Amino acid sequence: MASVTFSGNRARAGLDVIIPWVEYYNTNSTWATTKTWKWAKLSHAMPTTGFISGQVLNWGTISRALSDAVGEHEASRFSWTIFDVDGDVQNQYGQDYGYFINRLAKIQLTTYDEAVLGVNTPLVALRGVVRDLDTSQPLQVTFHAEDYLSMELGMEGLDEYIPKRVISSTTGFTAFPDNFKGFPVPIIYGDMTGTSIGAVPGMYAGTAAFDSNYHVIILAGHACKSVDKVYIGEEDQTPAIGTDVLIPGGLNWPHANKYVDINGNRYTVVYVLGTKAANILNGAVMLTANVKGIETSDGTALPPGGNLADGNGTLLTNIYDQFLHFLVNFFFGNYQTGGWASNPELWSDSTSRINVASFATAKTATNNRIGGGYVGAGAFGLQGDRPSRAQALARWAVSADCRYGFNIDGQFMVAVDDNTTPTDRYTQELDIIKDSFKVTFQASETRNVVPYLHTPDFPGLKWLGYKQVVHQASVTAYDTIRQADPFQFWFIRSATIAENIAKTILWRLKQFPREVTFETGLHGLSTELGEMIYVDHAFGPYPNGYSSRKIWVNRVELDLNRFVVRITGLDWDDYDDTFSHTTEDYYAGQTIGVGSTTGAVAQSGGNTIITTITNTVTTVAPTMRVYLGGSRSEAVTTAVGGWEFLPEYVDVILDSSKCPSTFVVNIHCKTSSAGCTVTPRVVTLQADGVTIDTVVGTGVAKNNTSWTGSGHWQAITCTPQVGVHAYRIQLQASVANTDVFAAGAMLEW
Amino acid sequence: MANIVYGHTTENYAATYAAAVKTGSADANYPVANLADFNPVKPHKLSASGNGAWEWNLGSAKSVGFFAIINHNLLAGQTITIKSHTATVADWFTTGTTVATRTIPALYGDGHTQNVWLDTSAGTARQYWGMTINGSGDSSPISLGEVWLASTKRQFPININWGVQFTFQHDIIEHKTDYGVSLIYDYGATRRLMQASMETTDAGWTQYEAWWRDARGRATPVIVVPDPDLSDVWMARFTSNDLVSKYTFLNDHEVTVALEELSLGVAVRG
Repeated sequence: MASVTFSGNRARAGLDVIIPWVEYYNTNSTWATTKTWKWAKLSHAMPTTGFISGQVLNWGTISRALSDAVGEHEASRFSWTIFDVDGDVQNQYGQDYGYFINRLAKIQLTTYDEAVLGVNTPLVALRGVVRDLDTSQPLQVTFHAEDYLSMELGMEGLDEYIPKRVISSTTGFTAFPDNFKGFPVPIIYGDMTGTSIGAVPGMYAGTAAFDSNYHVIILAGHACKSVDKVYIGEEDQTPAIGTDVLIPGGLNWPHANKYVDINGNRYTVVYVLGTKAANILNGAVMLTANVKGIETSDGTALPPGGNLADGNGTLLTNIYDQFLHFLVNFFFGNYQTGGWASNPELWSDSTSRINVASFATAKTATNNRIGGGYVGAGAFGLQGDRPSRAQALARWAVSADCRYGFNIDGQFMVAVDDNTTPTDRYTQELDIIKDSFKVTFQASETRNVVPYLHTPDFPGLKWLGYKQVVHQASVTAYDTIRQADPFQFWFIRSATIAENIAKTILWRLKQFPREVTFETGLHGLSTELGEMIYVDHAFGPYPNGYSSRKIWVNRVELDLNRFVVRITGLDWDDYDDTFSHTTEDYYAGQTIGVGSTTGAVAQSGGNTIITTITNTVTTVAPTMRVYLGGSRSEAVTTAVGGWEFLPEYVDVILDSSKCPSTFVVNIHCKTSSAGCTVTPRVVTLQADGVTIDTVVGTGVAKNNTSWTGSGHWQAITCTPQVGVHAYRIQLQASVANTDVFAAGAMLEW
Repeated sequence: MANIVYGHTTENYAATYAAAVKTGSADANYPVANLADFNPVKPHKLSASGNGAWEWNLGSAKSVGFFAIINHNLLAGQTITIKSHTATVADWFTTGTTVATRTIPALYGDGHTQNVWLDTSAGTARQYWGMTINGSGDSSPISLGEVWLASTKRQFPININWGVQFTFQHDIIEHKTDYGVSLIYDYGATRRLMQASMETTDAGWTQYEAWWRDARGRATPVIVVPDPDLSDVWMARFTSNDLVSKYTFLNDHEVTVALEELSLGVAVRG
């Protein structure tokens, strides 16, 4: 049966008796089976589904929204307050509190006719999990529920980072080095091919079980389609395949399968013989490989049962297939070994937790933007890269240029704006409630320059693609450059696709966004997040108002106290692929924040770098890295031995309660000719806006002439001023001879 | 118009003596206990379509003043029969002494059915009382919101005055567009209110005060038949927590009689 729909015509005719209620499922130690509470404002004797008790005193707003432009999740929420007339809930809650939290609740609506006739199933207005019960009022209980992603992101300590899997046990490995324990096991999607060396750095994992002369290098925590090339240092190992180096499925590969299962965990590894491996272990050289990552038996994200995840299927190439596969197997799931999951997890009422169809829709929409669609390639876990789960989602969403959220069924969904002709239309005359329509100009959100970074180079810890798209007409119109923070496309390795995404972002931001909000009746529930709708309203900001104006819906709220649906979206022009823009270099040599876990920022290239650090500071491991300098060269103009400022600086604003006692600046410097040394130091120019020009740390002299090779990095521990929370930090360097030097720095907290 | 009929809250045998389903079986979601929970929105239902019969064992031979059936899904033409017997009965359709019979009147336009009462005050005192209903309710299993067995059929010595005012309430939510087009959502529930005055004697005043005290003012529902010439009956509460009476002269009291019907929710169907 289909779900009940609410039509505007029936509302205008007043034909529908509306029955809304909430169902809340929980189990405690004494209830043998799941207990279902059903509450509404008015009691209803439903013909087939039991009695709904009229105990609801108030409905909170049922709110759903899409993530923002940088992939930050916005929680879907609902709440309700009941008159706990017999104390039933509070009594049970007091005894079995653990069985109330994180339990499924869903808001449903039907009409009286549908309830009696049973032609259609009730409409689910949102599923979520109860996160909190407020019992502060006598005989009242307020339940607060939110989407399950919010629940999972809010449960600290439970698989907070991606990859979830780390080398937690060395069982099954031989001579596994202690310093690699706890390292994440990489997840690789798409074609990860490097230029001069491989794109995937390997992790040393001891000696091989089949022959102790060989050493194990882990590339991924799953089977891969192929390992195409292996480099040790910059040396291509192709001639050594089958002898010094063994690759999955290659000559002399000692296993029947492309993968190995060790202690219940699946890996893609290569084997390296003798001294070559020793140099990898001691850090003298790095093994890198070109890898084609995750495949499935039929090349779809969720192949039906029987898929093997053995490396012999079809490579997942489209970013939406990869994103969906990632969510099911690595984000909500925790893949260890065996075949891939065939289906997303289910709610306890057997509804899928992911709206799979939305990924197909987004895939089609982006296929329409560029031939072949958005081809994705990227990884988690390389070089210890282990972002938070929220950051991991953001990486996918920004790379795929989509928003995500929860649909009306409480299913995770993605959405892409496109030129689709809307099906839903809301008019001032028939649908939009009086005085509810408003348009907000978001002038401060205008951006006419959009920098973007793509093709992360994990071995080199930098971005290989660094461009920006510029809308000159907007720059002229506003008489100013409004530059966005750089968008990071972690899963895009094609310059063409990256530019396509960036200019789509520019299209949205070039003219200040206009947010449209209005209220309508319950027929507004037929409009889903991410949908394009038509709006006709005389108060639209055009000479004749809005007439068939497209609005891209990014928020839907339901007020069950008033039977009102509030729709919010962005005024949207049909995307014109030929709109005038220019593409230019953003800045060179960007370092990437591998290993960062919270709030990582990679910025540079100017004197206006500002970042706000609000994460908790830890001295155990860096939780924030900020980059400045890059590979910019600067000629010394002062006397030899004097101190020369590099032009870049960083303004760092620290939450005063989280101000670190020390921070580390990792200096990276070189001179242009041998025999010349450069000494870096860190200077706090300003603190809380007052010029102080205090040297807070000095490094040792270096005489490197190359960015590569070991030892060119040095960590300078700096001590900031006590109680100060706003710094302007700049690099200085001094050379021993007249020379040109270059330096970069990375601040860590 | 005969004097209004009413019953004391504490004189509802159904609240004391549990009913048993004798023909048909109870829907697990809607047990027979719902017949006497003072909540007519929460009905008792049979599990399948067809005839239904219920039995009350009053423990010893007792008279019953009247039966009231509140909020049901019976259709016009169906018959409710009240019977009594000296022993428990397996099939009330074929056994027992018929005390009263009522044919269900036509549906109201809003889908609700009329509540019905059956005067059993002339019946013989018996330990076992039965109620039979022939046929299904609206082609579905029989559904009964509340059955009230008033031990005593009470009436005031002097009826309420002419000029009684009835108010019917049907709540909706309505929004309008700039053009005045309405979007209307119906709650589906109709409630009735009665506002009257009664000039009565000392005995009548005492009787009224006893009724009000028995109900503890607004606290508990009462049963009332505003016009005994009709089949309709209300399960209601006093409108106010205040009992107002004016002692106008010797043996002459002016009493405000204001009652509001308990919500019956949307019509019981299906």
